[in-house]
Amino acid sequence: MEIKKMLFNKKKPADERIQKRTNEITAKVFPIIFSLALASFLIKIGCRLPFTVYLLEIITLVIGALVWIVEELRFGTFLVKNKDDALKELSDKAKTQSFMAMFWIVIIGELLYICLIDKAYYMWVISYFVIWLPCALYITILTIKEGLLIFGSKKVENNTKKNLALRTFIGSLFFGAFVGFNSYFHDGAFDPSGLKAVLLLAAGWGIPFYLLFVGFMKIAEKSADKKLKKVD
Amino acid sequence: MKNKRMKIARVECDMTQEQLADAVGVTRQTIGLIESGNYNPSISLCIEICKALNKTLDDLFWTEDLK
Repeated sequence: MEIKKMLFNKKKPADERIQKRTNEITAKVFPIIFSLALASFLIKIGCRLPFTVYLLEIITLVIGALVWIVEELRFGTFLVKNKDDALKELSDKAKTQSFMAMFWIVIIGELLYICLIDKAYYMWVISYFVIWLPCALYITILTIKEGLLIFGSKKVENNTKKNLALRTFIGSLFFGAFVGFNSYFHDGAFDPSGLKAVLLLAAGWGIPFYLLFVGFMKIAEKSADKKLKKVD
Repeated sequence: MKNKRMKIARVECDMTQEQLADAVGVTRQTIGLIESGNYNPSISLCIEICKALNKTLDDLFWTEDLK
């Protein structure tokens, strides 16, 4: 029952200060991910590669642009030149939503690409790392440095760690099952001895991810407290 | 400008910054920044803080300079 609550309960609204600043940071990265996806598309067209090799870029760019325009129209901020603070906040929110859509399309599309593409074009998967990795690194480093990726209180820290552990456990099992597919399913048959490999892969990804994430949050918490001491 | 009235109201209610933060759904650091005058909360957050401290908006957030 508690596990169900942890996975499916509606999240409390985020701290408005952190949400605002995170949206500002992500909004700055939105043109970068768009440009990287566009550059990847143009390079692949220039190299006269088959349509399937750059299909993901087309989907990413079209959906990214659509989400951005629709959200800006919804907020009434589309092409507004002199934005006051409130309009800028809404515009940042629209760009953040578009960025997140593009980011997840590239991440999931990359996995599908690896499974479905002709082995001759495998190496082009690097283009997707180039699209999402710099953006993810920039956002992660800045949110830690500015003290935004924080727990905020002891109570939230305990709940967050439990939640994170559960989600990491489930995610790492999926990871292990996906990456280690050939170890438990080969020659059209299920091989239970291959499940050991799945568990090892899951642990190999899940444990470092959990420890790293919690570590980052502790660093961000110290950074946030340091900033607070400076202004006090 | 520091919000001393909010800090005093919080102390009168015997609440730490963390407890007030939990009550209104923000982080401890945000409460600290509001009290030190380094973050302007939205009106809805101001209202939540007032509810948690049993005060009015005038009591905690009205600036004397505006009168």
